[in-house]
Amino acid sequence: MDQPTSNDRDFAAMYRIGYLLARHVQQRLTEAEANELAAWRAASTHNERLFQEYTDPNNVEKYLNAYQSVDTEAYLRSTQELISRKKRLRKVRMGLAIAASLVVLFFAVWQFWSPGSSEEKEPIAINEADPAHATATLTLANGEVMELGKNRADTVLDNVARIRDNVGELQYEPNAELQRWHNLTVPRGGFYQLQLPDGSRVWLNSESSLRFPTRFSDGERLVEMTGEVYVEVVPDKARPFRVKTGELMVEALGTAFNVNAYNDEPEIVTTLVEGFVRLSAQNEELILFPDEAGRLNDKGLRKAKVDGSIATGWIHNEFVLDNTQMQEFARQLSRWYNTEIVCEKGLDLRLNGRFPRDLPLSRLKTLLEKTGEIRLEQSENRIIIKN
Amino acid sequence: MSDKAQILDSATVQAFATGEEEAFATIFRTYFAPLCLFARDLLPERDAAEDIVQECFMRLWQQHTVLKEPSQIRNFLYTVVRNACISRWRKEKGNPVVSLEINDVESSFSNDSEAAIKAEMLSWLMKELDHLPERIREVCRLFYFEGLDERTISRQLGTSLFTVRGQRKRGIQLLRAKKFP
Repeated sequence: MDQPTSNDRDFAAMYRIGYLLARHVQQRLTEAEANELAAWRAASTHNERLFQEYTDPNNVEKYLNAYQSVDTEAYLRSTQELISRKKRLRKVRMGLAIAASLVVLFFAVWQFWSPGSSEEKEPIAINEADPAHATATLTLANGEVMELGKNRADTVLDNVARIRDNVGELQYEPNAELQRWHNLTVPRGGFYQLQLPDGSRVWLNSESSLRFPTRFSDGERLVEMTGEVYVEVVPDKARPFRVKTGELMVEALGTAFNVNAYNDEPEIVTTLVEGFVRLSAQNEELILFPDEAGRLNDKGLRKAKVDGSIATGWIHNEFVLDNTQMQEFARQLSRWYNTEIVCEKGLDLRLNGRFPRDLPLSRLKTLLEKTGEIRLEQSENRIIIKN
Repeated sequence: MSDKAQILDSATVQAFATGEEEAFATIFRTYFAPLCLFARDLLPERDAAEDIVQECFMRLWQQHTVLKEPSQIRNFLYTVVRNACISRWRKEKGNPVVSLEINDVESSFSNDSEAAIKAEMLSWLMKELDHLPERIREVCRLFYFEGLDERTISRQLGTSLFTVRGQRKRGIQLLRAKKFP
């Protein structure tokens, strides 16, 4: 059971405990819920102390009375007022935007969500960019290159694979006769999914590639990658699944894991979600269990405790930031929007949060600037994040 | 498993996604006060809580088309309020973006999980307000949500101060410990 520590950035377990405490106070716990709460209380003396404090009838009354000090209705009215004022502003600006886009085709004038408070500066236009979409190229053994992501209907490829462009997935048939090596390459501003001949599934993030055979050998299932992939391996004890990237080899039986091996990142990070994997590099070896990560950098191979859902947020189409350096996030954004996004020298900021990846760059700009910490500015062909 | 029970129902969330203001009001009434209490637990000075949380609700409104699940709205609100409090805290310390400084902020936010538990517990308790007997519900609504004092309520409803006080106390008892049908 999770403990209430500051490391639980998304509070997921905490919401549940809040619910259980309320139901306890109301004497409405189901048997299963009562067990769940009992397990949490038993997990630590800290939890038990919190339980006693929060469910004490006098305290509960005190907490509820604090509602009186918050004038909900007055704030609701003023919030609605602010919103409708913005809507009117937005209509005017929409008209302006259309006019402006006729003059300056490339600039999305994007002050729709311009903040109401007076101290905010006028937003600066940036070159608009769409979020990544399902696109990739497949290079066959004979060197032929196919563009994926262009068709709506399924295409069959030489009886070995089915290209399902409408869902952005390439599916290999299980019983190909010949072993041929194919290479799936996803550009910046793209993503794609792949089902290998053994049924294992691979998600490829922007600017990533996977080299794999149309039929696996008897002794192992070897693939090579660059960039970032998430793999769900179909169990097969006789044939370990091996992912090679640079000096690192990840070996799995049946398991799910993420490998981030971008050249412009300082280290290769393998994060395990399920099962276990063995990492090897430069004569070092490491076994990972769920919610552990193996980091390979110039100091060698190290293990770290992590939350697996953070590294794999991208396969659910989310940016998940957990105390993430702005510079690292800028690199993610550059790949995703296929736009050079860099931080101003000396910018030192870490970010937390979780939000959808399918936003146009302009919306993302709003989100980031709303923190009040940073500004995004267009400078020729790049976007600079400033303090 | 953590997401089994949700305070907001999906009909409200769907209506919110299409930009319905009434749905926004429902979400606001559900979360505004608990989030203010949450922010007060995190901030060194309590006065700023309401304004910070209001700003976060403005941001929620801007995101209405992308937040499609009750849990997404809840997560969004808590995360944004927490981050806004950190930002506020950092600004108040004067020197904004030195990494060390931010670490200081992080450590002073070690109680954020506990504050989230409490806020979420209170929202669940207050949700039962809808199920209270009508008279008691009205008194509690005026007192807890409209911020009126008991005397004003008694004048407004034409009942005695004594009755209003009794109904409010009864309401709190019912929220706390009553099994509703």
